[in-house]
Amino acid sequence: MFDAVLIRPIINLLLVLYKFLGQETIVAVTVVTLLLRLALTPLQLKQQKTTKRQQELQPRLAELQKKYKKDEREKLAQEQMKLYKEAGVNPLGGCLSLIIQLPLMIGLYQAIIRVLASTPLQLLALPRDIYGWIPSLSTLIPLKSQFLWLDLALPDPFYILPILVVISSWYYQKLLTPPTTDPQSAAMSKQMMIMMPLMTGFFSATYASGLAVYFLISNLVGILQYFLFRSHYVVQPAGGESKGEKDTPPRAGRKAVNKAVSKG
Amino acid sequence: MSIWRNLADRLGSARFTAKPLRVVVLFAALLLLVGCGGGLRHESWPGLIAVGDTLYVANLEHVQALSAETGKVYWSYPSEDERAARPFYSTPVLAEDVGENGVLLVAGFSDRTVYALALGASPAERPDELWRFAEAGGQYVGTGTVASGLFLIGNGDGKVYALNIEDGSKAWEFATDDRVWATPVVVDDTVYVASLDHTLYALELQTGTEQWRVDVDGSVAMTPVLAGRDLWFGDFSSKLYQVDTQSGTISWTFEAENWLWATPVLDGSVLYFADVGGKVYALDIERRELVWDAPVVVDDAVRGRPALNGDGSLLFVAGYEKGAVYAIDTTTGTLRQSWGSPLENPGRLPSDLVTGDQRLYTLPILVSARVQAFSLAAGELIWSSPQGD
Repeated sequence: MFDAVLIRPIINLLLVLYKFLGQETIVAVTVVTLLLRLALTPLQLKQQKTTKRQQELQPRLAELQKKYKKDEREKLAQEQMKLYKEAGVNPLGGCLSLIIQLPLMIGLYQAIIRVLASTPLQLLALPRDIYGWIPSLSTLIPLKSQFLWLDLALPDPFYILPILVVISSWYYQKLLTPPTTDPQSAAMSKQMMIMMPLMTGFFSATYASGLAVYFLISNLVGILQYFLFRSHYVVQPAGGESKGEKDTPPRAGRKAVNKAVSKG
Repeated sequence: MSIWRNLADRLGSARFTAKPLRVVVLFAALLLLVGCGGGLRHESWPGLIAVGDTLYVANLEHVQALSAETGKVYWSYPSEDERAARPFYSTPVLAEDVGENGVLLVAGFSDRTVYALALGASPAERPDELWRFAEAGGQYVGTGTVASGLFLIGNGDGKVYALNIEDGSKAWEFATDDRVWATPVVVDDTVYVASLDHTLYALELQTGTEQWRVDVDGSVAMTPVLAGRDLWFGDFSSKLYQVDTQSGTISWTFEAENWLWATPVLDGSVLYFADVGGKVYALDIERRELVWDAPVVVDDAVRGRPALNGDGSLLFVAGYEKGAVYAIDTTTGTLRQSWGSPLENPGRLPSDLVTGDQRLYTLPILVSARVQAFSLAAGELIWSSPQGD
């Protein structure tokens, strides 16, 4: 099911692009990554907006937590939900966009791995993924995987690409990390800033470098998106506006927050 | 990687507060993305030849000699405790006329090395390593062939190497534009090499000088079969070609339904071949007509070369994914029977099937019992190796 709906279409898209873009695998992978990132941009921005608004509510939530003692957890939960509701924020908002994005990402990863087929055994699984009704796609197999010093079907022998992936992942994580006064959130952010680049770097160094190309392009597009749609990302710290950021939470939401806190 | 960041945030907002657990979940998610299919990365398709009562098998990291009767392992090369990342795709080849007892030649995939082993006086005697050739730039997938004191083998660097079997020195090399996975075919003084660059080359055996070449539509991983003065081979564009070796031209083509990879079997004037979609064809190459009205469908991918029984009445085809062997009546084109391994996990069957002395040998992968011997008549498992599985 997942194969038929996602992976196969992406594999065939990769092959069609490969065919018409000079039979360069790296170009096909780059274009598919860009297309997918562009297609996901509205969802990501919506998700980012929700995240940002949740972050903006954090100081108020912290105040509520201070107000209610441990034995008043039910009341605290009620007030938190009320705060979310009146501020127009769904605490699980953005989950839908994640649910849509995650399979697409998995589909792209898997399509790249399958189409690059680093061993003959992996190549053997490819024929069933190729649409027979698109003429002559099978004549393209196996794809030419050489690009500069890289064989895109194999890990980068000089670790240049994994290093670029680690650097770009770290920088992207840094951009995405909102300022926070909550020690727990700060610790988690720090953890993410270290773990995510290391993990993507590890996979880039271990698997086909075509996958590392995907990671790198994806990070670069993400960084570009950040600067193009900065207002969706930058969160106002408690008690003031962020540097260079004029965006404010919706008035109704802010009023609701104040009301909820003063009631408590 | 905002998706991961947001995933972590969601987990956080859902009071999923155990930090190490969050990291583990993220790691598992990434592993899920890239990990599928990873099990095959360290596998290969093993290769087997039967020489008298001895089987020589190249399998994962080792070449082994086994008793055809019992499956007992005589020796392993290198020794069992050495586990270099080598897996063999290449089937061993025996140069019987070289040395006192013959030389076994086999090439590793990841280590890009050809090994020549001088066999002992008895099958149980451990062989001595005669030489190694490690100058190729790519991985060895195809099997080599022996002719006129030369070992000819294609490589992932696009070259065909001709090595002197006596000492492993390179006699010549010839470069194609892509990987060479098919076994070179020698006829008289000419060697025919099929490449993934969509070309069949005819080269002079002693010098490697190109005589002619034929361009086809797809990559050729299938080893050509000689019938009379024609070579028959298929490609990834699903076409089967008849090439006249005298003129170096395509005489005729036949369109199958899927990629052609498994080496065909020729019996008289009938060529049996299977596509990777699981369709099995019987083609009368003299009349250029299908013997059966329609291909037999085995409902599985086919990569390994089929095999015939002694009198040619049954054709055995290995289904790759289900790990089953299908017996097809060669006269009527009907499926007589199919059998799988009685072992709990049948594994997969990408390798060529080998028949001999009323037995059929299979080489399943992703299982511990890597060599299995069946009775041709009943399809019963006689032994498996390593023994005890």
